[in-house]
Amino acid sequence: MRLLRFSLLINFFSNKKNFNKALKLINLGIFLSIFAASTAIISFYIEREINELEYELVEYRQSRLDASNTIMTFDGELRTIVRRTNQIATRLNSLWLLSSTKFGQKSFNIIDFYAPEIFTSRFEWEISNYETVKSDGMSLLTIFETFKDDTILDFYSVEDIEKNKIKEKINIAIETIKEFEKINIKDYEEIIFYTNEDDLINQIQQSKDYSLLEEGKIKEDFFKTYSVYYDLIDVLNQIMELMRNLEWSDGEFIKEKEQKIIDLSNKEKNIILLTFIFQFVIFVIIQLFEVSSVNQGQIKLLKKNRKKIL
Amino acid sequence: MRRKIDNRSVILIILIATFTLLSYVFDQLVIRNEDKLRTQDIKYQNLFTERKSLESLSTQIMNYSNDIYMQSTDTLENRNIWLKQYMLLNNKDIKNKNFRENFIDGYDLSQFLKNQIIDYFKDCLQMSGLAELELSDMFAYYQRILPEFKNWYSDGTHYSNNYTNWKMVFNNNLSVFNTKDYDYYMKANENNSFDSFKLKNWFDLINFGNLVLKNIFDIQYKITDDNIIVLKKISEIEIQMNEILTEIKKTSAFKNYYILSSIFSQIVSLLILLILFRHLLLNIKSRK
Repeated sequence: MRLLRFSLLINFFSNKKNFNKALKLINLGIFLSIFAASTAIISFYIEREINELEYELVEYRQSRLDASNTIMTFDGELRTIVRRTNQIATRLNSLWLLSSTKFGQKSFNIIDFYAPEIFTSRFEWEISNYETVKSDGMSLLTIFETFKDDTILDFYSVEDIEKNKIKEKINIAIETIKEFEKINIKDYEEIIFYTNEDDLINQIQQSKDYSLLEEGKIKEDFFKTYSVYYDLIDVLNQIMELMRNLEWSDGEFIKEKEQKIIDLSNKEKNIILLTFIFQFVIFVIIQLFEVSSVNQGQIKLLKKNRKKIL
Repeated sequence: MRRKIDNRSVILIILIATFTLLSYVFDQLVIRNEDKLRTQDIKYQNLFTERKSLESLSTQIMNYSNDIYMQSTDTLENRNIWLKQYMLLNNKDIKNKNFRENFIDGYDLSQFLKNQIIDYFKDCLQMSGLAELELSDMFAYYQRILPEFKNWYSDGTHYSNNYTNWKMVFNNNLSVFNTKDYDYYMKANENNSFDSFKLKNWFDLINFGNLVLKNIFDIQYKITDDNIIVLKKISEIEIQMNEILTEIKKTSAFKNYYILSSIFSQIVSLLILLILFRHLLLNIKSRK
């Protein structure tokens, strides 16, 4: 235990030979610790910049994830509408063929086919509006209107020519939807869910008037509904395109930020290397000065001793 | 004789002690931040899982609603077709001799049409039964995994029971029916005995089926209300997740700073220690 005492250490270094060695070692230690301290400061500074970038990266990643989720939901909705529109078109062709026969005209009419389509679509629209009004405080039309705003379109990096096309499509859809919203759902509810004998007799007796091929208010309402589907497909496709733009631009930002982080890490390595070289050169110079000052001291001492002898 | 320690050495020793203490403090702060990060990460992961579950529930509700619309539209299109044909064969006012010629000979057309009307009615009941089953299964499962929706379904008064509350549907629309007896139609359906049915009863059966479908539509508003609750919960969770994410980022940044500060303090303390040694050695040399 005695060996560990500080005074013993001092005594050990008091020896001139040990003293020089120790001084050199301490100097080397000081050089290394100064280097380590400067490395820590550099890392501290660069780490702060990387942190800021990583924070931005998290936000962009979140935004990209949200955009991907929205695209997925929109895609599902869009496919449902497309499938339904195609289904209606195919069915309508077969039913028109059936309606052109006497048997078909009496068996199947506008009340049977057009009315449920109008009712269900109108009901679905009302429910969707009810949902968006209650959850976002906005109707579906108001949501569409927001996509006409230049600031919103700028957010999605839309070019000016493209902006006009989008606005035009939204305007057409809004007009069609406004017409569609004028259809009174209660009228159709009455027609569809409550069947009475007199009405059916009338439909059979006046089957020509009720034919799917005849023009009339119900057929007009049906085609308003059908147009809404078409315009909705157009607008939803457009909105999905905007979302894809956002997802893409977020992806580009993420790549950019990631590259910046890699660059900063490389920069940190290079700065540390440069610092080492720079400090090593200074250390060598200082050591040279110390050695030369010791030598000069020894020469002076030798001269003094020689004079004494002579 | 003991040598006296000089002032410079004392200052250097105090500095070494200060930086060693600082290094210790920063180490402790790193440990604390690490704990905080772990807790925040657990919270974030829990919210993430909850959000995924809620999103899945919302998608299921949407898919369910879309199915209801599609199925109801298809069913409603056929609601009168068999009845009209039956009338064309049996109603004295519109009976059409030529109408029978449209069908294959030797086939009991009237019976076929009656069966189709019965099938339409049964289809409507089946649709509402399946709707109840699907919806109750969905909500019963989610109330189990989402603590927010405890007692959402299990209190026994959930609205999905209304899908199959056919008696209520019938009694609320009594004016529509010619025979205002719910049991009469349900017994006929259960025993598959429709022999006593007259034209007005066939009308009642069709209307009963229509009203069961209308009831499915009416319940859609309640399902939408539930979906709104789910959507609002999702937005709440998203806000919370963003807050936690900001906290995680801050804590993580602080943790890194503390690690660097601790390293820096250790280095400085080592540097001062070396300077102290150097100073002591030079002192010894000058005394000699």
